Amino acid sequence: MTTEAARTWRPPPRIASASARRFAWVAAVAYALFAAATVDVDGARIAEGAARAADFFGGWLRPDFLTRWTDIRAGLVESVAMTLVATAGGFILSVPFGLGASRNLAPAPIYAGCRGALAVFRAFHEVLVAILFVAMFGFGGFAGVMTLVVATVGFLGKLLAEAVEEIDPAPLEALTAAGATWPSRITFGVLPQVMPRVLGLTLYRLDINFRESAIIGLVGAGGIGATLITAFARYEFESVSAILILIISMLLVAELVSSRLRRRLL
Amino acid sequence: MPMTNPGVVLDIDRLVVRYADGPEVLQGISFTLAPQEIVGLIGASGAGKSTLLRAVQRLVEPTSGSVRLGGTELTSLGPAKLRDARRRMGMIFQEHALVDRLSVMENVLCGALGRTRFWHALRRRFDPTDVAHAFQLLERMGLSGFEDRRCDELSGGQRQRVGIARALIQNPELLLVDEPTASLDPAASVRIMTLISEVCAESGLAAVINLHDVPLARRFCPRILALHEGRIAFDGPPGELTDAVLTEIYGEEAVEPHVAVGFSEGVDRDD
Amino acid sequence: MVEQPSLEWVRYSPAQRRHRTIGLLMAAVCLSWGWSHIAARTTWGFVLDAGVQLQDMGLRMFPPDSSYLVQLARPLVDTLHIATLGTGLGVLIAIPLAFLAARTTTPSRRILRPLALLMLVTSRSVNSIIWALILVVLVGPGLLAGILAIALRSVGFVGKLVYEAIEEAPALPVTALHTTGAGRAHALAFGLVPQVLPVMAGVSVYRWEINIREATILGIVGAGGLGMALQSSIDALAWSRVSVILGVILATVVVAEWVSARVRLRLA
Repeated sequence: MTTEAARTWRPPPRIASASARRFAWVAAVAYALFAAATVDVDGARIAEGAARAADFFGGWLRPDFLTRWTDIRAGLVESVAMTLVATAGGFILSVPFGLGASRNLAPAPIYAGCRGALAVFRAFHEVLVAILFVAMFGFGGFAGVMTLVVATVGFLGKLLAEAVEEIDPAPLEALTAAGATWPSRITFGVLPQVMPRVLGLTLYRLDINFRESAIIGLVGAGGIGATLITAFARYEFESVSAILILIISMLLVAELVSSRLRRRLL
Repeated sequence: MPMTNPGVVLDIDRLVVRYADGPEVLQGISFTLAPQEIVGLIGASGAGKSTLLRAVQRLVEPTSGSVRLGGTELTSLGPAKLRDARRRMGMIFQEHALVDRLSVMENVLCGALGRTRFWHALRRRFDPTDVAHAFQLLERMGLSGFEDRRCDELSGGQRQRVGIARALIQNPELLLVDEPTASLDPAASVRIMTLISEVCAESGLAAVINLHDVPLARRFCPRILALHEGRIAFDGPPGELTDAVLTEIYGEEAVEPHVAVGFSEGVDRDD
Repeated sequence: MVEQPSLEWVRYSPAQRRHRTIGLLMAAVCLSWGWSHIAARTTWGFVLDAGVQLQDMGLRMFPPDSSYLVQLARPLVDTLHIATLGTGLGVLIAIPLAFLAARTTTPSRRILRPLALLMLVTSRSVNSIIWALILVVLVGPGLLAGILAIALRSVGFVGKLVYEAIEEAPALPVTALHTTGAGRAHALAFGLVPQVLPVMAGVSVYRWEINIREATILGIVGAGGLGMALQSSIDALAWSRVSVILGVILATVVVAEWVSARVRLRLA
């Protein structure tokens, strides 16, 4: 316990073992070098793009809602329709999947099956699912609805299952002891505990679905995304900016409304 | 006109503090603190004890009146000079004022932040004198060997002692202590108050200590200041603090709360 | 003999029942409108045909063309770069913005804070693939567009969660540091930052995982990575290659999720 040794102090390093620290440094440097080598940035193309950027930002400052208004309106209406139908349908379907994926409710094979199904629904990006459904169902809103339903069921089903697994078992036990049938047990013992949260999440999903309806249109699944990509393809940046402004504003409003509704629910 | 007496550590004259939306929390407080004097501040909740300490530090702005620290008028200082002034006062809060995720040593050295350059502090290169002082303080607090432990791993009493060390490393002229025993059990409370008294005596510090526990104040503070609805209701030695005065301050038959001082069942993992 | 009043219990008061009925009615109206809108524009022949289409695609996709796998090495690396560099850039921008957006740390409540919040909301409202569309126009197709698109989307996500953490952090430690005579920067660096650092790190890693998923498809609009291989294979109707790409995408996403979970566990 010499006082000399006590005079210096350094904070203990965040990663304890010296070799792990060295590894982290080496890995970081190696990655940086690797990235620098393999990411090729085409300077010429960027310079070219500067001219187009001027065009683009010019378009931003002059959003044009009128020229393509019929298309824009059709796209927005379709997006809204898709969002409503898909969120409602997704919510309804998520209940059986979610209940089936709850360890405390479902027998093992059903549990495995539902968990697996939910994982599959969530595994692929919505754009990929949209491509598949467009190939199956043809272009348009139907494929879009199916895509969003799959995404919604995956999202809500998982969260519902997690909520169900966290419930207080006592009410359920009491109902079982009272001899209630299975549907009643669920309705009175499980759902009241989880429904407020799930409804809140469904409202949240409404926002997300609207946002996604804008992008699945890029691959042909209907909605405002299709209008957007057409405008892009035609280099009609004024329309592009108009569409984006509309999407952002609608999302802002939707977020405000849904957060207020969620607060009233909980 | 009050004479600026350099011998006086703290001189408060007709201090008034009013919050933006309403009543005057402090309605004209005046008192002086002599060197090495320890004052216990008592009063019901809302009487203004915490506000008084915070007003001295200008964490809340005084509405009117003067606060002098050893001759320097605090109420009119600009930001840089205010920081200098604050360095001369050590403030000790309840235990939650520590930075949980940092180690004990880092928390203690935070007291020296006022005199450490930003980049040096960020890279934890503190002045070796400060580091030595920190070690010394930790030893005095009975926390040797704890320097690299995270603060959220310590008990309440231990964390309080880290807070004391942080205030002491500033080499202050004055200690302002805000309810140091509020979340501690009776045995730990006595230990902490003993420690504070000893440290003040050793370093020749004056102190104003905010306490909700009247027997504790009586036992450790040679002078008691009682606040009642923003005014000083009593200023004198503990012996003169009668039940009548207590009733006036706390508003009801002040039955002496019998705090089992010192002999609870070894609850604190302090030592 | 006194008549006993009949005891009745209903779950909802008449007023509540009215509200619920109106609410449900409105929902039903919206839904039926929505559904009819979609249904009117659906070619039902295709829908009924879907099963056959699926079967057909399945037959073409399997067996997958494993020889193609080697050619995916470069696009895969590109996708990783897009996600990693994009997340890094996004985090770098998000953190200062978060400090500007948090009520407790913003230097200017009237101007900078609303501005920062607006930037965060804009970033969050525009999906990365739309950012990618814009950037492909500006900087040309390729990695750079992808990296910037991911960065722009991540700013909002990371920024929002970090500024919420800043606002929720207890203020007392910072106040306490002010009383030691520390300046504002010191007090924040020592009193606030250590408290939000775990959140910053955890959120960044989580966003990286999400970004891997997004980066795999950005190529569809030309922003580099596996998506480009996918788009060209679909255009060429090379379905057996498409299945290989989908497999690689799935594997990448699963691995990224696993890595992210492990790292975040150690961070906590």
